[in-house]
Amino acid sequence: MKCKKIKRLLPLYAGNDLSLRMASAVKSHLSSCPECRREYKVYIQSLQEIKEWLKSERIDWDEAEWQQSVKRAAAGKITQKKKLAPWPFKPVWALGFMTVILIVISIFWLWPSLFRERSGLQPDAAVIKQTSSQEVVEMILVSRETGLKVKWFLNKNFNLEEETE
Amino acid sequence: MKDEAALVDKALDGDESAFEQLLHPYRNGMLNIAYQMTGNTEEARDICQTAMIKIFKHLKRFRPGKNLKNWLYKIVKNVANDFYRKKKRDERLKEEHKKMGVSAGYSPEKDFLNREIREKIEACLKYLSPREKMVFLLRDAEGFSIKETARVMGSSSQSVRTHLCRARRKLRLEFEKIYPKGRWSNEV
Repeated sequence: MKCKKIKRLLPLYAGNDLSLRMASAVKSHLSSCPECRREYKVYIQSLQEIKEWLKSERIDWDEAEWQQSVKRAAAGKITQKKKLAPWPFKPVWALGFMTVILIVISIFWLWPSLFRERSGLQPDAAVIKQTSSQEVVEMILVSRETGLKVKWFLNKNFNLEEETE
Repeated sequence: MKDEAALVDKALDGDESAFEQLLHPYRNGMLNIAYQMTGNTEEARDICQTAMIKIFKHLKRFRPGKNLKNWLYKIVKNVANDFYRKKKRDERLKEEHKKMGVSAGYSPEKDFLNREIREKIEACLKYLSPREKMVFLLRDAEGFSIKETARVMGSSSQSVRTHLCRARRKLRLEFEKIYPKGRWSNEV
């Protein structure tokens, strides 16, 4: 790695916050580059010293004051769990559950119309209708490509009587 | 962990001593984070008090099995951020009053334990953004891991690393201002 990249990583390396792979790359560079080594030492020393300052500036709770604070905090009201109709799952799950129910209901609601559409004439299908007299049979042929309908009218001997488009 | 869950249950039933036991291991850590964010012990105690009230009020939101320490520090962080924003607003108002020639009649008490060290810390920390400051304090003063810091900050580990890197770089520059450069060149 080049010095520029190493210098970017030095603040994290100084606090042991790099991955093992990156840390070993930085370490091997530092062993051969005095300029980066100097930078690293500055980071280490500044970090150590600031940590020391923060440590020496630490404050603790006075016991009486702490107890008083706990008392004051515990005097507040807890927003209680609802006793009625508990929902053991996350609210998002409830929302998802409701959506699924809505989808299912809407499919059932739409089903008759879908069914009706499906029962319509399908391409490439042949439908045979018989007249009440049983003397003429009507046969409809539909082309899938063009949608062209051809009607054949057959007599009781299955001879073609008429053809319409 | 089981103890924590039992203490949470007891605290939810209104047991004050259970609540105290729950917070006891983290009390000084929370106070010090607030102290380093504000630089004032009174303000730090106020932040902790507000945070404790919130913790007690919303204790039922805490899910057993989660890390209590992270949850507590997250609340302290949020309260400290609110406090910081309010303080900034107040300072702006004070400045405006000063410009208009009105005396603000308010001087925050500076109760530093060690003025010299406090001044050095303030000189270093003042250039950090609140986020950088919080990440630095959690990682380097309180000893949180990167992952724990990320959970408290509500961000990714990568974001924490970026803020930490920036914070340490700024601190190093400020540190070099306090101690002239010559000091380092002799030691390397």
